[in-house]
Amino acid sequence: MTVSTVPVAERMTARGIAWLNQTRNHVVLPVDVPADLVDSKVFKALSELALAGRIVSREGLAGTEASSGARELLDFVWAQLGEGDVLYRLQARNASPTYAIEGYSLLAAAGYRHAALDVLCAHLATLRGYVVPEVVPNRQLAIMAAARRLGLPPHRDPAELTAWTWLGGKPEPWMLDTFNGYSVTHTVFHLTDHGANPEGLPEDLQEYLRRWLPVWIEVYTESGFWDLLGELLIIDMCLTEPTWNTESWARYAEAQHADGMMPNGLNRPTDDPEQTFKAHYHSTVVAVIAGALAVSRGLGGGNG
Amino acid sequence: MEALEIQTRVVDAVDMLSVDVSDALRVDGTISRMDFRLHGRTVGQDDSATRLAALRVLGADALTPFVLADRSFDQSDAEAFRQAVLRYPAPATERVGPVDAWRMRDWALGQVLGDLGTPLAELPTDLEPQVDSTGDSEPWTTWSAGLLAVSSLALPGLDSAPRRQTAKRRLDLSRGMSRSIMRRDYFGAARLARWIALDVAAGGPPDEFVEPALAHIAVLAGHQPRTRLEVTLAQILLRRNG
Repeated sequence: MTVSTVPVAERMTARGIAWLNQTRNHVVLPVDVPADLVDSKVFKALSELALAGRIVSREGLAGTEASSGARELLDFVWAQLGEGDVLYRLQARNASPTYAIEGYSLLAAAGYRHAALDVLCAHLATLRGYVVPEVVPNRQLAIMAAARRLGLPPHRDPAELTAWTWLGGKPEPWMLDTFNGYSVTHTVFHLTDHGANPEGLPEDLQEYLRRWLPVWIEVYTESGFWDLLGELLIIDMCLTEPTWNTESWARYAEAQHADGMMPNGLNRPTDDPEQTFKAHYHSTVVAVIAGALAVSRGLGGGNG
Repeated sequence: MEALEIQTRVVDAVDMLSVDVSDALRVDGTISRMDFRLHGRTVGQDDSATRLAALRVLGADALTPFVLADRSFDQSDAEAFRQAVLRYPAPATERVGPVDAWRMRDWALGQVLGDLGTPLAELPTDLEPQVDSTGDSEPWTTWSAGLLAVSSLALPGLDSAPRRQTAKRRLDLSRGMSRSIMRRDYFGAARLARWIALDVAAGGPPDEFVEPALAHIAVLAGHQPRTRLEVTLAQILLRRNG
């Protein structure tokens, strides 16, 4: 079943990375921007571009062109973040939120380090305030995954957090909606480090997903909600034994535009390049990651 | 009459008959054993044509009070079906995927009438050669969709190719049921839940989600008579297992 999907996935990643590099100038930070003036949407987009770059670099099987494009993307993000200075200023200015740490953890895993930020992160991980942010369980797992990437100790018991996620409750499968769908995908992303460690997902949840993921993939393929469908296809690649869904993969690949952009499936792309980037960069990041993992799993790559 | 008006009247008649059958399936003593008669509901009425059409649509399901709820069956009920079948013979073909749905439903009707001691010569008795044998390898999406049209075969004692496939493909049945609920096709979901319930009743493995699914469908769509009938039948089958 994977034979036809691998070349499709490889093309998807190469084209998606190219589009992200062509359009990345829609997310730029002013040089020496003070922490208080960092646009949170721009920061979020930069973090997601870093994620795409990191996964493609890590998998290394999505083609030479994609690999060099991924490194180019990571270099761009690192430069925008003042080689870590912006992240440091954000974290030092407001020590409680974790989004700078989470973004940094992706870049650090790809080899971009900032010494002072490493010291600050290690210190924050010792504080009680770091243990108790009132966020939903899958966000707690995100913080834990970031700590793991930075070599810091886990702040909570992952099994306990997992049990409190939507996925951990193994609900009736028809109760999945868009909101819960993203909760499920993020729970799997963080427990498996985006497919690097499929065993990080407990076996009973692997079994639950093997049973019901094909249903959700079918429903979101039919509805053409490409952003969530892409995330569902990613978490299939995060299982120890992916279910593959060749027909959905084909439909998903057909949705990608010739220039590499993957539409989100909700908003019709416009002629305005900036609006198009803002609406569809996330779904393109998702497509890049989905393709890279599918190539890696399809060719029997070790994800590491 | 306009075609649309005829269609509306038949739909209404099917709904009325579904309500009557659902009520007759209740075994809480609110309807006496003698009260449920198909004949009086169809033959000799001003709108008999419509009512016989409704009987044709429900097929074997209209007989379930006699086989699942101990209602007494007599010759007048068989006569109602004879008139319905003569008046509305099966179309040459109505294929849903690989399934000749009309022929399969009529086979089920003939089997149940035969079990009740009133075989009807106009109904097919040789179902098996008509059944496509690719059911085992078909994707769960189209396979489960094909089962919707032949849910009246989901009765105890009816041995058919779809029944044997459902015994081997429980997960695919459950996937189809869940997908139908997500698409808000509660009628379709109830029909697949009935196939699951039959397999459980026949000694198949227990099913984690069929009971909550039936409860969910009943709350959200129990006001739709045909959906309610499918839910009622599924719940009766599950109770037979217990």
